Amino acid sequence: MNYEDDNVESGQAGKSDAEYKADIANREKEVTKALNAGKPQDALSVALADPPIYTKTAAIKDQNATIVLNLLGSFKDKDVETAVETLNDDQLDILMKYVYRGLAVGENSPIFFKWHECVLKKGGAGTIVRVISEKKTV
Amino acid sequence: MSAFEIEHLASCITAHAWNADRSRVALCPNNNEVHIFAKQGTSWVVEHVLAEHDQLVTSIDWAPKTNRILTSSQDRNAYVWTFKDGQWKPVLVLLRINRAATHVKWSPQENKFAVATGAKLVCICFFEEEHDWWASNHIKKHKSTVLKVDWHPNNLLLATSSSDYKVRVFDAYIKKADGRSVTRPYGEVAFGEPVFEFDQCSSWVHALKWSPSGSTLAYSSHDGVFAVANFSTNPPTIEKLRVRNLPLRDLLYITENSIAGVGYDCAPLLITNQSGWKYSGEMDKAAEGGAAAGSETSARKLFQNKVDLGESKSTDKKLPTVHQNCITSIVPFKSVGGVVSDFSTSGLDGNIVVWHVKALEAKNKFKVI
Amino acid sequence: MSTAQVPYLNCIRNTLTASMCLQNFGSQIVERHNKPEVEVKTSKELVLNPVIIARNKNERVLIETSINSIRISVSIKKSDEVDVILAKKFVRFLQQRAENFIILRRKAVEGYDISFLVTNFHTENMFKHKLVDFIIQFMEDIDREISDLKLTLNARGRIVASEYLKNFA
Repeated sequence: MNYEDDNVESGQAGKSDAEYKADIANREKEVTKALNAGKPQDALSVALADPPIYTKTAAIKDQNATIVLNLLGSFKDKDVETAVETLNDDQLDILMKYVYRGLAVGENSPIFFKWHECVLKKGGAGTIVRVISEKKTV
Repeated sequence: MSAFEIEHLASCITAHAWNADRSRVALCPNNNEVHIFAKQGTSWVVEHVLAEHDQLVTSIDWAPKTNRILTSSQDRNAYVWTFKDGQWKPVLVLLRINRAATHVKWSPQENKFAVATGAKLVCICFFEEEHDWWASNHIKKHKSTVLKVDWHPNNLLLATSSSDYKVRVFDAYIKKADGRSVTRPYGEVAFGEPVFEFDQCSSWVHALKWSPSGSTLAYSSHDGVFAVANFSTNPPTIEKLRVRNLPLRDLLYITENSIAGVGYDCAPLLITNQSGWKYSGEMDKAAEGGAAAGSETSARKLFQNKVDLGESKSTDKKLPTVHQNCITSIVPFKSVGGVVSDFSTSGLDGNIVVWHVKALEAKNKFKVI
Repeated sequence: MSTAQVPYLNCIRNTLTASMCLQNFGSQIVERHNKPEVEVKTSKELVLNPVIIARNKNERVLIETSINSIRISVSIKKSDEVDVILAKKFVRFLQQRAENFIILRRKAVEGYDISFLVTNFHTENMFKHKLVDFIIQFMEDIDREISDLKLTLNARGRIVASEYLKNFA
């Protein structure tokens, strides 16, 4: 191998693992709260905020993804489109990364196909391009 | 007047370049040769075939003032071709590299040129009178293949884009070529040390271009990022834009504030600076019927029939765009004082298309500023 | 095409369109070579993130992308053991004729039934949108092909059984 790791992952400092863990615990609470209040829209923006892209610990990413994927899976087919409409470009990119995580699992796929279709419509093919090319995964 | 003219000159074009008066075009039909076409009456005919490389030709640049053609290839060589006694004569450049040469560019004054290479370096080449050959100095500092290079109009600064996700700006001052009387914009920078390094992209950087005045540098990468560095401040300020479409392979400043981008979407798109760079639409929306698809379709049909897994309904499907496959390069066709009124594009579908900006504006309702 | 399949195939089509953005790229490791980076994997920065699109536990597609090549691996529907045998036989039949299919890989990637390898040379010689069409068409057809085979097999089994049982009538 003539190529070092740090070439690809530029040295931007992210949060430490401990901070991410605190974030995740917080996120879980906020998402549940918003869902209980009947505001899936708010839950979605909480779920997509500040994903743990800088950590190298897979467990943290998995834990965070579980929360987001559960939320995405709980949406009704007809609500997906309106939910996607309110998101900005950053959120769309992050959402698409989670959609692909959801698609990889193979459970409850129809709802993820719906998310995929709606995000693509709103954000363009660029969202998929970034899922494939950005090395900082969610 | 139609908004564009289309010529199908090969089955696939990897690079093309025009001569000074646009009467001839040099292109590589995706092999080891360079064909020079000249217009005779209404059709383009092959006038010369430059066959000296023995692997794929990656890039061609035709110097307008000195009428010399520069070619590079994956066979690790670059040649400078001069026209003498009705023939194009090649001169080998001493690149001293052991990987593919990927892109070439004459400097604006045509006294030196840059060659991007797969050996993770850039060669700055200049003519040595005493030896009568093109020698080269190496700029290393890249961690992966260098994909593109572009010269600043001041003939000194060189920007490079690489598959290590970075854009770098170097001072490519060569004493033997530039002499002592030039003023260097960033002082006595050591040769081969980057003046600036930009890392806004998170994938390989496909294209980069200096604006006509040299005050901004635009680049685009495979993760759909388009960025413009503004050099009026030091260090430069950078504006980053996410492209909705597929990645852009090449860029062209139409004016100081408008950039045309081409790439995998098969249609040029326009990005303009309206107190901030913004996407302002596709330049080839409802196309008036593309070129007749040539041999590719028949090859494809053959393939489809061989597969013999039921009939395909879509064998003759055509894209609504003029180009039918990825566009790989865009060059100015007619420009006055940094304002491009016509530009040409070539791509994997083997078409060279000359676009007229004014007519496109009227037809597709966008505004070049 | 069954309607249940449509979102799955659309999703694959869009993903393929976005990922089949290839360019000619001479090797930066070996002099004068030009090899699909997705196969050789010698430079980490030239290989992108792989994605999986799964419809359920059995049916899924793996798309691996690099600067000059893309590898698409398909796992096909297998509802029972007969399907497993039929799929294996059918894929073997195709792989032995891989050169006719141009983009078919002779060996499937581990865990998948069939793989395609598309390089920049394919996207240069053939239209990209048609290559994508071909793969989608192929996936549509293979399911149908195997269920047809299964019907034939069952019918044949029934005839054989009834012929055999006639002896005891």
